[in-house]
Amino acid sequence: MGKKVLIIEDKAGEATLVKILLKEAGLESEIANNGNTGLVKALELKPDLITLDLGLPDMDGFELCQRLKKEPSLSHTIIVVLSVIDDLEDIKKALKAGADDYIIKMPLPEFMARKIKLYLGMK
Amino acid sequence: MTDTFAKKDISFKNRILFAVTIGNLLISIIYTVNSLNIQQAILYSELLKKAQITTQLAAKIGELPLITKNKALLEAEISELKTIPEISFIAFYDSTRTLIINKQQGILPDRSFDENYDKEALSIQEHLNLFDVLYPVFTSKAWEIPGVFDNMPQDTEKKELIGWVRIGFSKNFIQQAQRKLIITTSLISLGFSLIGIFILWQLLTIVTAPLTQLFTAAKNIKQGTYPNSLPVAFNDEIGMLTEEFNRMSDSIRERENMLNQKNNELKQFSYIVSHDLKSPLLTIRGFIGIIEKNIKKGSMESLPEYFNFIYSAVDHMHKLLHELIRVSKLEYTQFNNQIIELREMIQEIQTIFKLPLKQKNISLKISSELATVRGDSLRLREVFQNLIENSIKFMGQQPSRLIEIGIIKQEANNIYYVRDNGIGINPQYQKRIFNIFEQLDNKTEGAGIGLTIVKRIIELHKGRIWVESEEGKGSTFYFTLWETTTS
Repeated sequence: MGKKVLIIEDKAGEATLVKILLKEAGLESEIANNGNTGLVKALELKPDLITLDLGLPDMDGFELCQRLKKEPSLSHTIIVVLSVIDDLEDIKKALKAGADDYIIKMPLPEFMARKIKLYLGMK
Repeated sequence: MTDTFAKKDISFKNRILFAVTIGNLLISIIYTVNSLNIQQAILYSELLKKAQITTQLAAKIGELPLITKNKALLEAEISELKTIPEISFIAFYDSTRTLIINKQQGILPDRSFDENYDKEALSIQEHLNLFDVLYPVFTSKAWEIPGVFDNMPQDTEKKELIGWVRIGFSKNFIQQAQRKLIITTSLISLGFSLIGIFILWQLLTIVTAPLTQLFTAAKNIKQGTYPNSLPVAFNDEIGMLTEEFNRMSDSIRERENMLNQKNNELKQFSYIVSHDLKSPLLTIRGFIGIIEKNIKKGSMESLPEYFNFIYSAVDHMHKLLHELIRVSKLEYTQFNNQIIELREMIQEIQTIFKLPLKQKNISLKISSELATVRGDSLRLREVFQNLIENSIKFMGQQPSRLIEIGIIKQEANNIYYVRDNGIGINPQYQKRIFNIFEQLDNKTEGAGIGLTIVKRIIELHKGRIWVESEEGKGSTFYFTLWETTTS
């Protein structure tokens, strides 16, 4: 049973990094490098989990989060915001927009993969 | 901060009221005392006049009974006089100064006759509560003079002292009248004082209302809420103060708004900068970890790809820092205020872009109306350079490509513009384009710092910049310099 993860991230380096880290943890993932592609791919793949970067070039990350949450076909999808911003206001805003959790990227990227596995019930 | 009102617990209004009330009281006292003196003088002189007439009348009445030594007649005659209220006693003496009659209970006050002897004049002695008036009673004996019926001269009339009349006039009436006067005057003074205080209070309320209003407004400003313009009723000192206060309040509010705006910009700036600088660091840190694991495992095939991510992250970060330094340089390098020939300057810039303009087949039109402007020439050059560069970058593929630089002349603030008929900007990005590191199209080079620099330079010239754009039709960047506030 392959759990699917969708990475919505515009910066190629970071997206690849997340992909590799997830792969090491035994998770298959796909990358969407902007908000619109992310929305399309989410509906197409119906992933178990979406990692969402807030600073997207074409769309407000919080708005995208809300839109993803409203999709009936994604009702079981877990949305985790991945951000380098550790501002409390941003975290509150993301959770209000429907995000299931907010992971601050720095300083240990490896930690993120473990957390995502936990969400997917794969200890 | 100390409250000005706390220094003395008495308000301005109460202080004035207090002073006026004290003044009022003093004036009332002086007036009353003065009135009393005048009234006393009048009453005394009236009483003395009355005493004189009454005593002389009594002397006339007593003449016949004294001659005839008829005591009963004398009593009957003077009983009329006894009804005069001021009279406290009436006494008659015969020529030997023996008391004949005393119309009073008790004994009469002591009195010496010496100085009045034989003189037809009133002698008045004043006692604590009465005037003691003594008058001699004479009788004329004209018939005893020889030759009285033939050519008798008037002054040969012969007079004979037959006794004295002595009457006491009580001062009680004067004292009573004075007591009455004191009470009336006091009541009137009190009444007028109360009315005066009431009117003064109302007047002071009207006068101090604008001051109270100013005080409340100033307190509000201290707490951060700005009142609406205070009404100015009169063009007096307080009116002028209020007007000045309104202007001050407006300018503080304006400055605070500007400060808030700047603060927000700064917050956004540090937010973006920290975000954009953390991102490549994270990438570098992540890939180092992965490379380490790969080396430990002995799998080398992906390493070049991973190193490439690290290199580009380092390069990206280097570029960001370089741009950041450019922005901060704008603030700390010296600002040279000089007169600039705008048209000339833009024509010079045109030569820098000669090649890309030719390659992309773009015509650049510079308005002949552009004249001189005051500013820092190096910085303004950067403004036009950045805007032209932007227009070239986002020109698109339509056949007739045009960049126009011109001016809209206005009474207050001239508006300069750089217009292109390029690809335009999506409305949702129009607000963001001036933010630092904002890069709308990832494919084009540049960290998106150009418009941030332009905005900062315009702001250093006390101007504003904004964009109007329609996708597919082009963009126009407008800006002003040295804006004078409208208020």
